[in-house]
Amino acid sequence: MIYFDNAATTFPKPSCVLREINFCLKKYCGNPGRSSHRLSLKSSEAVYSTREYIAKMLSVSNPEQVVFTYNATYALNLAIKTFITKKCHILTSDFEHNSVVRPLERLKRELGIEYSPFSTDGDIEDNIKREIRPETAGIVCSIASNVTGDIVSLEILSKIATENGLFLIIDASQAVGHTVINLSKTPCDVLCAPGHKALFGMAGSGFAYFKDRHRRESFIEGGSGSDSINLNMPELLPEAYEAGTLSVPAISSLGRGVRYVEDIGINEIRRKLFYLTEAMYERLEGIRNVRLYKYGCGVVSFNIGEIQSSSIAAKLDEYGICVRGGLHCAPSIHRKLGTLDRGAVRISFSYLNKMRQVDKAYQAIKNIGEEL
Amino acid sequence: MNSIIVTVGAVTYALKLKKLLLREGIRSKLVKVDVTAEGLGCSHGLKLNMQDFYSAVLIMKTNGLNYSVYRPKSNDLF
Repeated sequence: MIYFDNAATTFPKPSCVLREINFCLKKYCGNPGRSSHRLSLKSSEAVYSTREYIAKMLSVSNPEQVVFTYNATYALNLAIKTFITKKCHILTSDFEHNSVVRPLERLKRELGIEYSPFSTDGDIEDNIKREIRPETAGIVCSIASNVTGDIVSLEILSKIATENGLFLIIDASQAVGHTVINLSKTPCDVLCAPGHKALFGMAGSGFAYFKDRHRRESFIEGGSGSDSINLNMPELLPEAYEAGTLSVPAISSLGRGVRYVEDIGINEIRRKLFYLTEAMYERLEGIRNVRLYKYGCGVVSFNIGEIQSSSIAAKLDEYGICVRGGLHCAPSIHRKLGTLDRGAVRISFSYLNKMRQVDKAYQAIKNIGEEL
Repeated sequence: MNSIIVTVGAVTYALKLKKLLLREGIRSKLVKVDVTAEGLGCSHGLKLNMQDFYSAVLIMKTNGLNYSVYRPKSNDLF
């Protein structure tokens, strides 16, 4: 079996991550922050260590401002709904995932906000600046497309947000673990990311890093392990947003995954992904009936003839190759690519993929293309 | 009595403080108390030697950590 659906979630996980999950569940998985006994305290320490690893990876010095969530979608909902509380205008890119678009659409219905996409073609800085209105309050934007691998520079977003007094919420789902993110040099108000993709944590892990450690009105309340007589959530992050029991196995796996990525080095990971992506693109270019789209960040998307992408993905599964067809929860980029009616087949790599897998996938796609 | 308990609210801040203290060579033990001095309910804190208290206060102030001194009650085992 060849797994090329790593932009959805990485598989397999490195053995050190599997060992960490096993160790956590077998040896210390108590409820963190709740009790005085050793398992609860050990779990608290494991959770805090993961906050530290993430803070270090992002080049920030406040691990307590790393809030754990269940995935990037939850993190984005938390960020968007705590920052946007009244009518305003929001800027976003033209390749956003539904984890950004749907919360904004809800706020459009409920608060009357407006949001509009800027083009990611050409000079992005100019494109964004042109769209800023007097009532624009912030930018909510992904820094790498999950369909084309297109990049929006965090440096440019950070600069524009700072210069124009806008808040900046970043969706780093496809960038974290693939690219160096330095929030000391390129600050944003919130950075949201999954733990289960390029950081190799297990499903159910994600986080949001908030620049400000004070609580805003949120949509989640419950037990926090502290301040229990107070009927409101604690004032400070992370507990202010972490109501209920945290998934210690997921968080521990994320912590181990972050260390794994750091041990390899982001630049080495980028180099390998570039190599695999280029090789796949070059091979697919030579196949009759294959239509390729943009590629990058470990992602290559294509179609074969006029066939529906999900049926190509199903056919590839018969060859033992796991890829994703459809719209990838990102209809706006498919609208732009002209593939809204049939989606696209997405191949997405992780550091653990091999060159020989690229060759096998190429042969399978070639066979399907020639059958037409 | 040669030890003291300082509470800092949630466990995250207690662990942050524990690491900051350790960086300065001050050892401490993570503890949970039921009701803080302010009567806000459960809180985490650190038990440390009395002689380290003033260094700890300086570290907490430098790092913007609000703290309370927990006074063990007659029915505490601390």
